[in-house]
Amino acid sequence: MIRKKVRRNPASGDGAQSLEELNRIRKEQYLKKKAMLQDLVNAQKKDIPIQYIILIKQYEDETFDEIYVALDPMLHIFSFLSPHDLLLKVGLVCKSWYFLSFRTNFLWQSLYYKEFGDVQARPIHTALLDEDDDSEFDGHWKKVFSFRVDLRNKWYNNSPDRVGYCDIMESEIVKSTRTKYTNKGELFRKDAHTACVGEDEIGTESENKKLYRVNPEDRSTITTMCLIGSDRLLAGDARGVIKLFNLRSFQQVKKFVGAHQTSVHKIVAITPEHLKFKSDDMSVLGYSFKLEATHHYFLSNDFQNNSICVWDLETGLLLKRFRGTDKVHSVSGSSTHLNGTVLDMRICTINEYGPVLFVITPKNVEIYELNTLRLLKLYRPFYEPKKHEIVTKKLIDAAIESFDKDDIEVEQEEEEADDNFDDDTGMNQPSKTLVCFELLDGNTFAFVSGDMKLYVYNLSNGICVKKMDMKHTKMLDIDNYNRPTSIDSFKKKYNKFKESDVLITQIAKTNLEGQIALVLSLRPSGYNGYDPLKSYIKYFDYRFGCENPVRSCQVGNYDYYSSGKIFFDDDKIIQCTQSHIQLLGRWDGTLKQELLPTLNVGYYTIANFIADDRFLIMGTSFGGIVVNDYGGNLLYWSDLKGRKLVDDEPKEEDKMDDSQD
Amino acid sequence: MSETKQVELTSKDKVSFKVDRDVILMSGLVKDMLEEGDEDETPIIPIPNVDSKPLQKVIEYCQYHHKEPAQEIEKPLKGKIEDVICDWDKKFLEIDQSLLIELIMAANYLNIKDLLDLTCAKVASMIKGKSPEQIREMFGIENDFTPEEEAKIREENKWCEEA
Repeated sequence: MIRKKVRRNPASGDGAQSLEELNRIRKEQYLKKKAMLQDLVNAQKKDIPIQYIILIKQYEDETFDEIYVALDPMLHIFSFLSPHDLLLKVGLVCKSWYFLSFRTNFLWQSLYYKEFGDVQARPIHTALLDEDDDSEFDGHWKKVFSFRVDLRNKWYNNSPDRVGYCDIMESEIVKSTRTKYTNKGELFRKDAHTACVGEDEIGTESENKKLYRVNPEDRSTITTMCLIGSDRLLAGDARGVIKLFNLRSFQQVKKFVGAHQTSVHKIVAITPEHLKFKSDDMSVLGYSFKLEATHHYFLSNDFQNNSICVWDLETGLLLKRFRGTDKVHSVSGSSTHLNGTVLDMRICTINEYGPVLFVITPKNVEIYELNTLRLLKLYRPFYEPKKHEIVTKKLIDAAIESFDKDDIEVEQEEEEADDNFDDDTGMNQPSKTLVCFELLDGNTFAFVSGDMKLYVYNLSNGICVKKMDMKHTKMLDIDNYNRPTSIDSFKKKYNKFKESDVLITQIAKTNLEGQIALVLSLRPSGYNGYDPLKSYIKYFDYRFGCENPVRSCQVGNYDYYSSGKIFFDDDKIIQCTQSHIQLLGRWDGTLKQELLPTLNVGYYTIANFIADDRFLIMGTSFGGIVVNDYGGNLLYWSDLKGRKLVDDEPKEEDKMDDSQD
Repeated sequence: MSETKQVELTSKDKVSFKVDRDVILMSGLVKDMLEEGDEDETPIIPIPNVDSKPLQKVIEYCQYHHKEPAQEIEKPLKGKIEDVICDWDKKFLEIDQSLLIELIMAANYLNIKDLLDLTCAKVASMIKGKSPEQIREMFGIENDFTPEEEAKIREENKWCEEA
């Protein structure tokens, strides 16, 4: 028989009559000790002093006593204080008070909601917020509060009547949509503080109340926007009109009309800073067309005309229009012309030439010098000379080399060789066309073809340094602990997406060297070609191939449809749905904050957006722009009174009309 | 005519106070204790953390606000507390600072939210508008900041002055 020896601890086992009782006592002691230790650890970790106020109590017999005020009442006292008192009075009393007043989240959380709206108005600056951190004393709510107030102060200095709170207005929108009155996107209030149009006010529109009806002629969806410097914005709309907004005076200052009959596709600005760069070997002599380094210019294009318009921003003159049939002279004396639709234009700085204009057409990547808009380089990635032409090409190449005029390279191929689009993929995008483009660094650019192949090109020698078939890449399945999975498995899992329904719609460089992000859009079956797509982002290092992506993330929720391009920042991703701007976590793609409609203008949608480090500018379906900061403050919305603007500034219109002639 | 039930509260310094049950039910602590305990005719409830003086004030508060519910005090306080409370509360708060702090502790212990709000708001009102030096003097607190630390905090929170 085996007898179990039970060692009794005389200190802890006093009075224990049985093994069970002894165990119970030990367990209780253990748990008590554990709890005490945990308290101590927590206190050390959070650096919370045990007592905060020691008051000296004086008795009638002249004796003194110390009264300790515990944490809860202390915080209760602080909760009646304003931010100014908390930070600059109470916080400077002693370190314990500093700790409490600066780092207690519930104090600042309640102050935040008191100042900026109700609980629905969550702070949106994701850089400052860690959703998973539920610490009571880490002080992140104070950071959020100070960030937002600071932003508001800056805007108040410039434009006191243009600062408002979108969350307050949002609640008003909900209220107004419940009523039978819907303002159908036509009513405005000028003053942001009272931008909400109440139910009783809708029927009594008057100038006194600053309610405005948008000129129907001005109501056209903003299709593209371009920031010029820090205070001007160009917005092109679906009617082909380009509007210039001054973000300081908050006025639509100019309209550029007549050049585009259809929707403006892309606008890029050329500033004097861009034009100051001149390579020594590029003489501008002999060219009649030349942009002055003292002016601001911009380029615009639409889909229908296959042309690029060059505008003088200051005078409103249309200086030049490169039509599809116009010859664009290259330095070497040869010429080419714009081939097909201009998919994208952008001004980028490259090592070889400084700032240049990239024009991306379905077949070519073209680089233009900015001062004279001369063609500097032409990349034709899909050009495949026919066999009998190869000898001819070699001869031409040899002839060009023998001229040895300068080092500007222009491939001279037969135009018709690549005119036929290879449409063998069965997708909407022909396989041998450029779908999206990105300059990765000063000497490298990448693009994706319609058949989901990623090409990385070296700019200086024009060689394709990497070609990756994205169909063979693996996905990281975020629902399965980010395990790599083949794209086929991914499609099986999300079986509503067929193979041809996974498209790459955007390349974006990231802040990590060599890492780029691809936006995969999942097109549902029966896609009508008009609705926005659901998006999925995959990051990988292009230097090491595409078999194993660095990581992947789903953009927001599959319930949301993104429209337009996705903006990548160091700490966040911003995407636009038709009704919301969504700020997503940079790493996991989870939705951090949604910016809801900010004006009480009924049922308008957000057509596109621009994000910079200060604010988000939304182009809307009613033809105006709405500007929000990352704290959720409504900073600006355009005056779309249309008629008044036209009446006030007839000279501008005249100028524009003249320029079109 | 039925007699109202009473409760006997015993303070830290062993002074007993008889108070109507309905009145003292404003205290969350007493309410819980009464719900848990037997239905004695006059239950005796010890209040070991509260002296007789503050306890008497607490009972005084409950006797008045039992019938006249207190108004909610806005957070943060925009001005002086005297501007937002009733005359009775103003008179009630005419007490010395140490009793006020004791009242806070008593209200916290007895879980009387309205009294806690009132007394905390009073202390906040006393703090409001005073410089850190004056607050230190008022509460007998030592300054453990170095001048550099103080200057840094002031600099970091400059935005608050502009707000």
